[in-house]
Amino acid sequence: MSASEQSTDEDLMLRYQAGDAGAFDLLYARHRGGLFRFIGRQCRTREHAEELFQEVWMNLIQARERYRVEAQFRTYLFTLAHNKLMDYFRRHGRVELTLYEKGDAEGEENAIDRLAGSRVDEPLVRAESAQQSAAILRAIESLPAPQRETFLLHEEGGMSLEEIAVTTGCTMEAAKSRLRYAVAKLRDGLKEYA
Amino acid sequence: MNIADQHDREHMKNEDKDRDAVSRAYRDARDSDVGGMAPPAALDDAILAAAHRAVHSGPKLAGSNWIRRWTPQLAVAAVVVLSVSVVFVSIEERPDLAPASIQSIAPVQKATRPEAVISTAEKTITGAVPAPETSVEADKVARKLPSEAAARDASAVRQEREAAVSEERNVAVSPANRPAPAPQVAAAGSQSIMPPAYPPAVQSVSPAPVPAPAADPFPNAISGAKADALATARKKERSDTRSPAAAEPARVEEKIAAAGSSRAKESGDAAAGVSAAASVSPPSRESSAIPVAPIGYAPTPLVKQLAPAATAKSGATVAPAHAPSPALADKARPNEQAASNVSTIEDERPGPWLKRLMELREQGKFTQLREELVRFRKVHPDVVLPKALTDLPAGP
Repeated sequence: MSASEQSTDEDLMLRYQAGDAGAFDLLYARHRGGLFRFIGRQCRTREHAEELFQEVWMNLIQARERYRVEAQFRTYLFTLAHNKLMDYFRRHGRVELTLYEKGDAEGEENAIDRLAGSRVDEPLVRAESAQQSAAILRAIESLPAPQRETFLLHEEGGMSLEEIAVTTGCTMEAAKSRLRYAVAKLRDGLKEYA
Repeated sequence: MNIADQHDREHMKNEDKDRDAVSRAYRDARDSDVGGMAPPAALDDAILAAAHRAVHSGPKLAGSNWIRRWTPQLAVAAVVVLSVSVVFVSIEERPDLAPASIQSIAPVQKATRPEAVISTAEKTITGAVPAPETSVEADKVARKLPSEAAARDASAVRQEREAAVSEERNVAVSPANRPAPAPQVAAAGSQSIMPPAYPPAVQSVSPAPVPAPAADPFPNAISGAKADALATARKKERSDTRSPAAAEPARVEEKIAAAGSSRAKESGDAAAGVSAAASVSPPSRESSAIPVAPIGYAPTPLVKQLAPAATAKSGATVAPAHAPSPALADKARPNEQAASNVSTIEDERPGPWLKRLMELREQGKFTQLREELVRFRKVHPDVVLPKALTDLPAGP
């Protein structure tokens, strides 16, 4: 493993800011999968996911001059993605946005009822054939958006509760609560395959 | 440890187990083909290409920032340098484009030569009084003379001529030669003016400071600047006299001379006649040996040539300006005595001057005699000195 590959995300971003294009290649390789899954599992279609994914990276490229190491790079990157998703929800009139605007407890069950089974018929979900994998993915997709995002940030971004709170703009308690609810529901969804 | 704490601890353990189980299940699903989700290769290429383009355009941005910051200063500096260069090159190649103050330097330098001033002054002091006889008809013609031609060039040459003349006057000022008003035209009752004409050779030497009478006998005389302007106009006219059509200005000159002389006659004042003759008789280098009027203007060759023709046409008797008639000289003599400066000028004629030198020798004032001899030699280099003045005893 070379020295560049051992560098932290922040170092790579600073190097890219200084003009090292290779540093960006490494950064992209590290985060392309997690970010794309984070976005893809919250969008209705793959086309939208790809569009948002490209916009996030383009924003990162254009904003490289203003980048300052004030937090972990992945927090910075997923915050960009979170903001893009909010814009996406707003643009398409998705109910997920209302869940972010309401409290965590309020309407949680209703949202689950509304969303349950709503994305199962999508092509992206239909491609998942393995039962358990399909079950958990279905369960993830059936989660309320804030819980789903929190769970995905925890799994795909490897973020702590504090980082999740920073990325999503909520309190740490809210993030903890969302994660707990998400894990409980996913566990319930996996019971039949346990 | 109470039961509640144990319950919480067990609950957290269960939560951690559930989280681990869910996480493991999710990772399995993510890594399996079913749950695999990755951006297409085309999207990867597009993003990476955009990232590389952005990096390569970075130095250009920095360069453009530098240019943007220094462009105004560089532009101002370039304009200043170019302007100064153009001005200097223009002055070097076309001196006539330079300001009047720069142009007037050359004539003034010529005019400030002491020898030139002295020699011109000599003309003014040694001249007899050519007061040509004129007729009333000539006077009438002179009254009709237009001054438009002179006015055309007056404004153009006034400044530089004034500068040159004033410089000459400053240099030539002495008790005997006070700066005089400009050459005057003795057309008291009329505004018709004929300025003194300066032949080119004389102009290069510059007009001499002329001794002025104590009291100006011609209150209506034109100013020096005006006369200079008119002189320029007249010079233009003279340049055309080589052609047959140019005879008219010459005749006009003669008529003016006649007019001045006529006025002198009418007033009974010989000085007026002298002045009138002088005003129309410009100084010339060729006539430097000829005694000229006190005003200091010698007749021009043109006048000499055309004088007979003018006389024949007008019927007036116009005497050559450079050849003072004995009658007019007699008339002018009282006027010379009346004017103090004129008497001073008389003393420097060769004859009286030699007399004075002889008197100094007889008185034994050899120092003063030597100084006077030096001055005499400068003024009259061609006069042969008597032996008594050449063989002076040595010593002071």
